[in-house]
Amino acid sequence: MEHWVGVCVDAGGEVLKNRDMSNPAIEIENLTKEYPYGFLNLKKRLSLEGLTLQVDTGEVFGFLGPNGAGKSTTIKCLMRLIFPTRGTARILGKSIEDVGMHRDIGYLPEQPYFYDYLTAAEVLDYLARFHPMTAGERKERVQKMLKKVGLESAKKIQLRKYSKGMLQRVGLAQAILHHPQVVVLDEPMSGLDPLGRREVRDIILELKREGRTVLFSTHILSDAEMLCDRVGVIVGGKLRGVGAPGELVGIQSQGMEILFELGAAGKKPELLARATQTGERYRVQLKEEELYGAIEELKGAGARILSVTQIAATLEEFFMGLVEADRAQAAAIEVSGK
Amino acid sequence: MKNVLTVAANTFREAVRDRVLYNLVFFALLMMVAAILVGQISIDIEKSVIISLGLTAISVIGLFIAIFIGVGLVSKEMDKRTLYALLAKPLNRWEFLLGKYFGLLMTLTVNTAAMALGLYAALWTVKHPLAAADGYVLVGVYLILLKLALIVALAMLFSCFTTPFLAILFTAGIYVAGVFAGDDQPEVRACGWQAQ
Repeated sequence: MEHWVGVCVDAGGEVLKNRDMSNPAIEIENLTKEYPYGFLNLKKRLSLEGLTLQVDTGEVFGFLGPNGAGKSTTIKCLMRLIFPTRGTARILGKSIEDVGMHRDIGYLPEQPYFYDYLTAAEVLDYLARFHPMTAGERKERVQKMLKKVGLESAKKIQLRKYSKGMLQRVGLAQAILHHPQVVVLDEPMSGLDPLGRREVRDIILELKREGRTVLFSTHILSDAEMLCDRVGVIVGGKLRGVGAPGELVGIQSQGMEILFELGAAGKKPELLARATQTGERYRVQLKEEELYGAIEELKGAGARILSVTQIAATLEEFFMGLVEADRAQAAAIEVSGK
Repeated sequence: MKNVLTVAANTFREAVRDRVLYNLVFFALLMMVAAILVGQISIDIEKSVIISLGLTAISVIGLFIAIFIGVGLVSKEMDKRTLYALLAKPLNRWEFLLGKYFGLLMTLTVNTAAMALGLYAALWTVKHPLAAADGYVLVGVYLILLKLALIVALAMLFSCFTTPFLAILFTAGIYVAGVFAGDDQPEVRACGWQAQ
């Protein structure tokens, strides 16, 4: 089993020390899922191919990938909602075949749907009954969770009258109601407005502060960049990269950007030919080795340098690069197959 | 066992909230009309007609509930994906299935018991006071309940591996085959009314 080394830095740059890399919370080994299709189910479509991954205790792990990449398939295999064709996985040291492991796991399904004839409080109470807690404890936690996800005022309304975002909140509440050690969230931000997304982000960070392990899938890259200690990018059923968001994009070539205004004398530097103008200001992008020469040139021309910034590749660029490479590969295979 | 009971209680609650028990209103109306008409069109066999009509109605209404709701017990949970949140709890699949089964059985028991009361009310209207032999109607009701329990199990079995439409066809098919294979109305015969 490969061990990953990463730096634990939260969105604000604060080092969070609760991640335990020697004690993985989730271990996935060679997980493969094939779906049969066609006449008599003779053909097989590979949805997940040999996925090997480890999520450390106490970390927030983002599972990224485009639609149909295999994120939800992986999560459903982990939750034993579907059975893998090959491979194994363990959560908190227990095999996923052990139903007892669910006592310490919280799960939010993708686009959650609950019994629409129940109210939010009734759904939470019903799902809490499968966990060992007394009636009083259950009642207290249900109230607390409803307050936490902002549904206290709508707790007596049947779910058939709930919006998608409200259902998402119910889903989140039932996932964390029993204080699980590992929380698995499938697209937790889906269907939420900006305020709801912020609340979910806060809940994930709170779970992290409490030392819980969070695995969540998303295709909203800014959320992953903001929340995750590490991310795993999955494209076409294969894991294409794992690491801290900064590490992953760090491999990409960087550049520099200078923002400047012309001097009072109006002398025009040669650099102007490469610059883009916005009002009085000019913006020029160059390679790192060209930076000092360009600064000298601007100084010589009497230009006023407003800022010099490093162009950092974003996770989105890294992600898009992988997706495009995968599509190009698939197209090449299709052409050669013809 | 606690998990089975939890799922069963929720299944019963679902049936109540989805207004499954509203069929009782239809049954009550049927019994009232029958009690009024029977007195006018039959002589000396009023009780026999009421019991036959009542037990048949209990059986047919129960059959519809057992097949149509029985088939949807699991398939609806899979279609609507309500199953996902549930199976991610410490709940075995067999506990879920047994819970759903007993939940519908609980619904059918309440429904059948209410209809049996209605039948006795109609009997009392036609001819009172009731005789001790009228107690045998309960044997018929009990046998109907056993039949429904079997049908729910069959409906659930088929719904687990085929489409709801086919599951309804298969279950109804087995029921019809069962009826023609043996006694067509064992519950009525059990009461001894046909022999009279």
